[in-house]
Order: sequence, then C-alpha cells, then structure tokens
Amino acid sequence: MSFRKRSDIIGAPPAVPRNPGMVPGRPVGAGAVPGRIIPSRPVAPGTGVARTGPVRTSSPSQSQTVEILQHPGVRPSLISSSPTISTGSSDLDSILLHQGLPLGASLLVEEAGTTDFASIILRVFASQGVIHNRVEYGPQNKREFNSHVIVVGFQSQWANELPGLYKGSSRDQKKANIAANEKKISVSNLNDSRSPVSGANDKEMKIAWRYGLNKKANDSGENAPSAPSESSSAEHYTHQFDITQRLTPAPASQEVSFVSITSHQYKPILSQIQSIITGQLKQNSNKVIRLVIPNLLNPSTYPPQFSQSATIIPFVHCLRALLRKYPRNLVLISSISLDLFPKETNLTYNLETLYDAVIQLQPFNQEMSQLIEKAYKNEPAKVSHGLVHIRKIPHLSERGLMMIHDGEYAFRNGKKKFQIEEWGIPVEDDSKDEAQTTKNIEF
Amino acid sequence: MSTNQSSTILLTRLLSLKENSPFLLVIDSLAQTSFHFLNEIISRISSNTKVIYLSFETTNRPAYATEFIECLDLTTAKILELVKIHSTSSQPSSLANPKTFVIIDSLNYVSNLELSSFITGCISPNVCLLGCFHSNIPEPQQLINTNYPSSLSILSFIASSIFEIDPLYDERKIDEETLENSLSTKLKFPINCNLNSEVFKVTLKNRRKSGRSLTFRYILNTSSHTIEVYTKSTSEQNQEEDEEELLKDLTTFNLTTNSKQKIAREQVDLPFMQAQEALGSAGGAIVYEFEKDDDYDEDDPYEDPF
Amino acid sequence: MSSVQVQDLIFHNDHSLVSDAVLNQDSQSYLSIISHEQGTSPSWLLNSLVENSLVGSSNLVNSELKRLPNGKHRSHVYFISFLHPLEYYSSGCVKNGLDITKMENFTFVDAFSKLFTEVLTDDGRDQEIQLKSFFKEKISSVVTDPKSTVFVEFPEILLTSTSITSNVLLSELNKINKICRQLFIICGQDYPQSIDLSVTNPGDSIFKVSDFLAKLYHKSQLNINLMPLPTGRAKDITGCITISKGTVPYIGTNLQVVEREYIYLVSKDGNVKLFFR
Repeated sequence: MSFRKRSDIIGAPPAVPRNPGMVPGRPVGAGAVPGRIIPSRPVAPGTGVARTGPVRTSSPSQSQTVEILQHPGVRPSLISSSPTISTGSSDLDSILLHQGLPLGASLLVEEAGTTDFASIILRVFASQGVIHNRVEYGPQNKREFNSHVIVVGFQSQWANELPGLYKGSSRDQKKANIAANEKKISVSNLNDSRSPVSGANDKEMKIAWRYGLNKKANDSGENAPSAPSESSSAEHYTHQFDITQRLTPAPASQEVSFVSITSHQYKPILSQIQSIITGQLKQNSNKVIRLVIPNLLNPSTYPPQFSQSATIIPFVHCLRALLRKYPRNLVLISSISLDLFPKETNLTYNLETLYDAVIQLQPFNQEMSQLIEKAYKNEPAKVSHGLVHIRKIPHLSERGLMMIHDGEYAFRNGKKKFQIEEWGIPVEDDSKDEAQTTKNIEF
Repeated sequence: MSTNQSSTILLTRLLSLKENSPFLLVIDSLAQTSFHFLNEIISRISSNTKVIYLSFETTNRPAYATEFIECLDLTTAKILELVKIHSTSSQPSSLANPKTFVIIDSLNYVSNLELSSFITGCISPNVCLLGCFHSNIPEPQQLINTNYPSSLSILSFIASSIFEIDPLYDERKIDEETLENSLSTKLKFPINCNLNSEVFKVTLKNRRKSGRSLTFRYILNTSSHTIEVYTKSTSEQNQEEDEEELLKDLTTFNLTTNSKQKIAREQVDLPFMQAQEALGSAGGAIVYEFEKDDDYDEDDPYEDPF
Repeated sequence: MSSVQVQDLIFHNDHSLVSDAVLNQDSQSYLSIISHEQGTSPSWLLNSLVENSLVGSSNLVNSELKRLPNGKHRSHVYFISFLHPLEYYSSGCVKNGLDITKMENFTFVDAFSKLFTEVLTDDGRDQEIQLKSFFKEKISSVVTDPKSTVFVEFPEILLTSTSITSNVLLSELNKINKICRQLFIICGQDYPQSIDLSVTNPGDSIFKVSDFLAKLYHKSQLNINLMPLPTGRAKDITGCITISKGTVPYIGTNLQVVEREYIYLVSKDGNVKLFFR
C-alpha cells in the first residue's frame, strides 16, 4: 500500500486539476499528499469558503489595481474585488470575508489574558510576506523582491523567530524523504513529459513539489502575462506555516526592516516608516509592504508617554493616513493586550475606530479549558484554546454593515496552523456531539 | 385654594419680572430645555425692555434680543465689560422701564471658579439677570481646589429664584428611570414622549429677603400662556419621601431607613402569609382536596361535596 | 420579512430629509447630530443626505424624493472629514448615482490625510491656534454659497487626541454653523467607551467628548441615532435608526421633526431597506 502511494506523490501534482473555486490555502497541505486527508482537518477542503462571495470581477478598472494583481500574493477580494493579501492563516483569511486583508487596510488583533496567541498571527503574517518574496513565478519563473515587512518596536530577533513553512506531518515528511531519493529517476521523467523548460526547473521542483507550489508554475505561463488569472495568482497566495519550524534562511535585511521605538515621540517612527516605504516602492512600485506592530503600547517596549492619547491616537491616525496614501501597497497588522488596555477604555475604543478590521482573541479560562479537554479527551485535535470575537471587517464595517460577531468562532493554535472554527459549546457526554465544533467556517 | 392663587400670582409676577428678584436661575435638562420658558418670559415683559442675550450656545440670534453677544471666545472680564456698556447705555432712553434684562443661555460654559464673580459682576441695581444651567452636562472636577463647591451649589446659593424645569412626559410610554437612563446616561432621546414641549413642569424655589425659601410646583403652558398649580403627584408620590425627609437629620438618632433596609423590610415574611398561600388564595374558605381513599362518583350530580 | 412594508426614511413633517424650509432660510442656521455606535457606521445615511442636499433625490432610502431636473442643485455641500479621505465618499456616492469629484457644488475638506502631519503639528497648546486657522482657512473662507449644507465627520478625534477643549471645538463648529443653513455633525457615541456623563476628570477624553456632545445636544434641531439592535445580532437586520427632535425647534419655519424609529438592513451590495419598528 505504502509503496503505491509513494509513487503517487511524485506523479500527483500535475495530475491534480486546478480548481479555481477550491479553497486557497488548503491545497498547500492537501496538494502535497493528494488523496489523503490530514487527520487534523476533519472536513475536506473545498467546503464553505468559496460558497458565498459573488463572482469576482476579472477586470478591475484602475490600471494600478490590475498591476498589483500580477503580484503572486495578491488576489481580488471575494466580496469587494479589491486587491487582497493573505494573512498567512487561511482560516483568518476566511473570517475576514475578503479571503484575506485588502491592501490599504489595517487589522488590530486584541487579546485578553496574558497569553500571546496574537503574536502567532502576526508572525505568520510576516512570514507570509517573506515567503512571497521568495516565490518564483511568472512566465520566466522570475524571483523579484515583491514584498517587504516592516516591524515596529522589535529588533531582528523577532524576525528570526518567524515560523517556517509546514512540510506535512512527520509521516508525510518521511515519505517526502523517500520520494526525494527517488527523485533523480522520477522527477526527470516527469519534467520531460511535462515541460520543455525542464533543466532549469530542477531546483524549483525540489522544494516546490514538497510544498505543493509547483502545480501550475509551468503552465501558468500561458495566461499570466496578459491578465492574472485566478489560478495562477491563487497558487502562491497563501501558505501553511509550522510554528515549530523556523523560517530558513532567516529573513534578510532586504526582506524585513526594523523600526525601533527610541523615544516617546511618534513622529520619528512615522518618518522612518515613511522613508522605508518610499525606498521600497522606488525599487518596485508593485511591492506589497506589510507593516507589523506587535504588542502595541506594551510597557516593555513603549515608554509610558506613548500611551497618552495625545501620542498614540495621532500615531495611529497617521498610520491610517499612510494606508490611505498607499492603498495598493501597504497593509498594517497590530496586536494589543486587553489586559493592559481594556475594551471599555476610550483608548481602545478609539483604536478600534481607526483600524479597519478588529478581531479579539479571548482565551478560555481554566475551568472552560478543563471542560473542553474533558469533552474531547479522545480527540485532542478538537480542543479549542479560546474564542474569536469579530468587531470590524474591512470595507463592510465602514459601509455600515453590522459586523460584530461575539463568540461565534473559536481558535486553536496547532503545530500546523492557527485554526479558527465555528464555535459550538461542547457537550460533556461525548457520544455524538463532537461534530459541533468540527464544522468548518461557513458564511 | 388661596395659597394656590397666591402662588400663581407669585409666578406671574416673577415671569413678568415685576417681583424684585435680581438673579433668576433656570435649571433645565435635555429633556426640557429653557427655550420655551424664556419665550414665555419674553412674552410677558414689556416689549421695550432692553434684552441683552449672552450667547454661549445659541446659534441664531433670537428676535427679541436687543443685544446679542457671543461669549464663547471671550473672557469673563470682557463679557462683564460689554454687559456694563450695554446695560448703562440703555438707561437714559427708556426711563419708564429702567431695568435691563440680561439672559445667559448657558452657565455651564463659565468655569466653576469664575462663576461667583461673574454672576455678581453681571448683577447691578438696574439689571435683572437670568441664567440657565443645564443639569445634564458633566461638571469638571476641580483638580487643585477640591474644597470649592460645585457650580450648581454656588448658583443655587446666590439665586433669588430658582426654576427647575421638567418635562411632562407621557407616563404611559416611559418612566422616569428609563428616561434618565437613556437620556442622561447615554444621551439618547426617547421618541414621542412629549419632551421639550410647550407644556412643562416648573418647580419654583423662591427666596424671601430673609433667605427663607418656599417651593411651589406649576404646569406652565407656553402656547396658551396659562399657569396651573401642579398638585397631582406632589401629594401622592412624595408622601413617603416627605416622611423620610422629615425624619432625616431631625435628631442625632437615625430614624430613616436606607434603601437596603427598605428592601429587607419588604422581604420579611409575615406570619400566616405562608399558611394562607398553601391553601390557595381563598383564605377562610373550605378547600376540598381529593384523596385516594375518597369515594367519589362522577356521575352522581349530588355527590359533589360542595 | 416580505410581509413587512419597506418604508421611506423621512425626518420632517414635510416628508423631507434636508428640507426646503431649511435651505431656503435666509437668517437661521440649523444643526443636526448624527450619532452612531460601533458596528453601525452611518456611511449609507451620509451618502444619502449628501445626495439629497445636492440634487434632491435620495435613492437608497426614499423613493418619493425626486432628483431636480436639468442638473440643478439644491445646495452646496461641504464635507469635512477627520476619518476618511475623499475616495471613501466618492466611491460610496457612486451607488447614489453621483460623481462627487466632478460636481461643482461639492467641496471636500480633507481634515484626515494630513491632520497630524501638517494641520496640527504642534504637540502643545498651539494646537488650538492651529485648529482655528485651519478652520478659518479651509472652511470659513471657503463657504461662500449662502445656501449650503456642511457635514463634519469624526470631530471628536480633536478632543481625544489633542489639548483642544470641547468649548473651543464648539466655538469653531458654531462659526461654521452660522455661515451655512444646515450643519450635520457625525459623532461616535458609545456608552461607556466614548461617553459617560459621570466622568468628571477634565483631562479624561471621555469627559471631553461627553461634555462636547451634551452641549451640542442643547443646540440641535434634529437628532439621528444609529445603533445595533439592543437584542443583539440579527441576520436580516443591521440596526435601528431613531429620528428624534432636538432641544431647539426650527425657529422661523413650520417644520417639525417626525419622531420615528426604524429598523434597517444594509446589504453587502450597499442597498438599504427601512422598516417601522
């Protein structure tokens, strides 16, 4: 049995039909091992997500929009068709409804309690940017610096802890190793049969098939130059990250820049950010710049004066102005602790007003965790770590749609991914109710 | 009845500024502002009275204002100077009506520390001053001199007559607590509750020369210009309150009950109440409860024990 | 939901939103406050009111109001925003059939993009002077059409992020109000995160905003409040809009506010449906 499957692995990727409606992000894991459902993901990929949104309009009017859609990490939003990037977590992409964060928008991740789940979201977000930078795409499989990450308040240490790509479960990895040994024979065969530009692709294949990246790398060449078709842009759109792995090689200085908080003035920080953005866009006007501000106002990083309303609110207001100035290039993600800056305070309220998207992580308390662990003692994979409240969704909230969803989703921080599911209260007699929390997100 | 009459006369005299009362304080709220009340006074005073309107919040100059001074950007000293100029200049022209009527649309804009000197500065023998104070607006706490009394206390202390204005809200639609909660806490206006209407409640606290004050309640209809003495709920509603108030601070013993004690008192189960409940509401009636040994024939119409 | 009648939104007894009685005034100026909570942004309402003030119709919320013929306009609209750039409003007004960027009678005053980088550069007390000169240069001297409607969105940021006091802001807004016929002030009003009248610390931004709003409510003719349903989230209802009369009547006209409460639904494509509550 296992032998037959091994051969499948190599042969499979080109054979899998690329379905545009398929869930982005999901294929990464699934594509590496087709025909096999990863045990932790109980519902087959393809459910739910693509169902609701209206059909994407293929030709956005502005030329700038068209240009940025050539970027491998940019796709039109499912609901507004504005260019959108992935947060690096496909589930988070889904609950943001746009299948990601629209360019020019900002996301605030609030977290109650002393845990730091939010930092995982932020790190994955940054990693996704770095990975896009390393993707080879387009007709010539060119690799250009198309993304940049700016981290505010932290040094390069932060970037060294970025998670690496998920390489499948340990079993998959073993298989991969075996497959790698067989590669010399089979891959060359495959390359011959598939593509005329085989030799140069060797290096790419080695990594790419493992990640499921190469599915369309070759044949996308047909349509990519004229109009970025969905399939070609979607394939590099989102990746799956493994928080136990480190991003290798570590991000270089042209991939990530750091802006440190040196004084209680916000203006120097702002002008640094501004100059990095201008510099980066001079290199490539289609660059996607991810601005990451972890642990905003955390006293260990920010001087006390920074949390004065007269400093922090103008700072965030200026960031908002920057995002509006670069609506096709810049996105912002921040995290803030609600224990330090509670929701009822005017400060947090104002921040929520100034950000375009706001989600709140509410880790379960001890009693609740115990209850859930008890309820799912046979299925540890289903144990959630807390609730996700949605406060604001880009574009929709500001257009007057009431997007506040309290306690409708739960998150689970697994090794393979940061998972967000629809939340159902577990029932203690574990006869048949497990199905409740396993239902994947639907809209 | 005669007291009613005399109290109506008092209000009429005050509203037409015939009573000697140099500083009228109007305490209003968002539920019923002093807008209609001011119009009522204007309608009752002679038309050649000079009216100086000190505007802190009024956008449109009222038709009756002889002088309209926008005070928001002025210092209190400057305002006082202007008041002095305008009030003295009027004197020779209209000797028949020597008084100048000064209206301050909102005293909430004047800082707490300046308030006392501002009011005394405005008052002069030929000036009748009316100041409005909005009870809804939060008063900034004095950070330096924490002993200083609040604006409302100062104003109430200086004023010779105090008018408290309340809406005659529709009690079927809203109760006081809901109104208070939505309007004074959340600044949300309940709809169709007869707020800010032309008919409203006025509570007058008039101070005699001796300083002793008397309280009267009225219903003022500003469209028909009629005054009614408000009696309805003063007797009913406030009875209990009055009793409490009478007992309060009367002796060094605490004779009053606080709300917690009141609740506790209400919760005390009186003897026999429970026994009566168990037997149903029919106290004293014979209650038949069917038991299994009873021989009861349904078909026999005469078998019914009662 | 199909059995419930879709209603037209009206504010006044002449079935209008922005009434002719207001725009044709020559001496009086009026104020309306549009307050909203988090989750019920009034974007759709603002666009509809801009449309109504400009051309007379209000397609999304009222089918009775008709567009003025021959490209005539009702009033000049000045929109001052501290929260969004022009693109936000222009893209929003497309749904209303307007290209406000090309309309002569629409002036956008961008108080957002460079608010802290150019307008209020000072950190200290001079912000008050800077604000005053900004309002004077950008608004007072610009509003020339006597028949004008002015919108000010998110002015409370000045209170929460600067040393400017509520009285100064009120004074500036009052100056704007005097030179136009109708002023709309759009302000967030969440209890207790942005307003709480029991707060008395003058340095607290909650105090400043509460003080500002409470005083503002003592001046307005018409109040509009948007909030989510008190019972919580519902799939087919976005929120509840309350039209209530202000503390000051429309002096000089027979205009009356029709106090009403609607529930409304904004769909993802931007359409709005209103129902009586």
